[in-house]
Amino acid sequence: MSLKDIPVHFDSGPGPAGSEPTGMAEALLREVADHLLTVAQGGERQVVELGNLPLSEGDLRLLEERLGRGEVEAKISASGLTEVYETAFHGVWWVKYFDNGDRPAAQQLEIGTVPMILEAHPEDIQASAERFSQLFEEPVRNSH
Amino acid sequence: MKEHELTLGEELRRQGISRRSFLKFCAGVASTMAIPATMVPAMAASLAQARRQSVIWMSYQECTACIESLTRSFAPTVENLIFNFISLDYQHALQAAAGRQAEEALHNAMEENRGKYLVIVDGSIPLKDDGVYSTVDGHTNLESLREVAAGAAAIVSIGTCACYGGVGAARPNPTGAVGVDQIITDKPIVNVPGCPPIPEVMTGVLTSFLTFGQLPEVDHLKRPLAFFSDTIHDRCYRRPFYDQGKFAKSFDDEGARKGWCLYELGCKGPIAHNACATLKFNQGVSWPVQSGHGCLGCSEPDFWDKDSFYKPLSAGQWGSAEGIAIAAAAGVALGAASAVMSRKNQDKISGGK
Repeated sequence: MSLKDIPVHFDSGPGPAGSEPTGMAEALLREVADHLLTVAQGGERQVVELGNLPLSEGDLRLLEERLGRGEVEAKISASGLTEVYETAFHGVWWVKYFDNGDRPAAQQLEIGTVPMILEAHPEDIQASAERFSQLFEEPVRNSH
Repeated sequence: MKEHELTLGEELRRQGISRRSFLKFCAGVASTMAIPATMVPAMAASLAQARRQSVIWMSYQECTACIESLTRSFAPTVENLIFNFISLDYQHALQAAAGRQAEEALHNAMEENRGKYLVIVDGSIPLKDDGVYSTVDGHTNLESLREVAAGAAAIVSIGTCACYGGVGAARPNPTGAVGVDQIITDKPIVNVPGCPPIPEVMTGVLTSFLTFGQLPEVDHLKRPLAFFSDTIHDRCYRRPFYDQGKFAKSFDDEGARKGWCLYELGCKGPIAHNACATLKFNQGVSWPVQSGHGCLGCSEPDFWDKDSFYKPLSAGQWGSAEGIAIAAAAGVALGAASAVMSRKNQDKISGGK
């Protein structure tokens, strides 16, 4: 059962997750601008955590509008879904983590060449290199 | 190699789970714990090197709301924790075993992991009349706590009862209930108060123990700073109304409908340290203030006995100096004045208590 199943709805009241922007989006954009400069000058990857900021729905919408969408989008299936897209600004990525039940778990803006969740981890690459040789040992076996 | 001798990284790779899952898990935890997201890769690496942590959960004088709350954690989910990262060796409400088998599981876990297991406690411990008011398997909670704590690496007290005695210790405290740290003094203890605590705060503390190998930094009441350093008031979305001196005067007036500040209706937000305003409950659906009711201050010691839930701080016994100072501080002469004026109104609501 979810909230939608309850036949009651609000018809007034601003509500906390109100649709009005609070000015938080503007402040965040300035932070992102700073980070982007850092990365542009060869600095480390920067991450802005959106989950623990008191952002209203309106703030998030505004942020999405201002950042726009760029050339890349990707879905990662690892312990549930993760969605990643590059915004209209190269190197500014929007990363949305979902849990196993596809509920949003965390949300970040990542500023860098490529979001870390997209990169293959050296240990995983090593494991797959070992596994890969099996392709030659048992050429007829069905993939499993 | 036995399963528990593998690192979590090895164990999960055998199940076809990649490091991306670790990264994602840690990103979720970093988010709720306000750990800088740039630390996520290091956290993931350290978690992959860790071994499955034995956890023993002891329930004493409690109402099971803490475990009810915990099972609704979404980042990380409790099933993710239990299936992938910890070995929950004893928990009354969740385990399949019962009776003798359950007690055997407890003692086996204590034997195998002596000095290394993590103990979680919910509920207060009665001391009066040799603790006869709450027993499990013929042993008083006091005996049981002392026995389990002796071999523990650390203890996490979950919920206001285990931390400070909670409702069990409310006046007149018929069972002489106290919190864990009033009995055990020679082990690292972290308090995670709340009635119930926020699920993500509980799972976050467990995960930080797994990833960093130690308990998080705490305040003077042993509460993790990551979650308890700000007050509800600091992070409240209704704070702008407080600063403007806009207050709801009763639960159905225009101010209440417009979502104005609940200070005058008894909200204890200014002195309550907790993360409800940002993490919320039930997968971020809502929290008391969002539902239109003031904060009760349930993460603070003795919150049951500190006057009416419906009296403003400035009129009550809640470290009143602090409450009044806050009311006066933010330049809300208007707000403070109206708080005093509405005292009569509060008395009406709270039956003059």
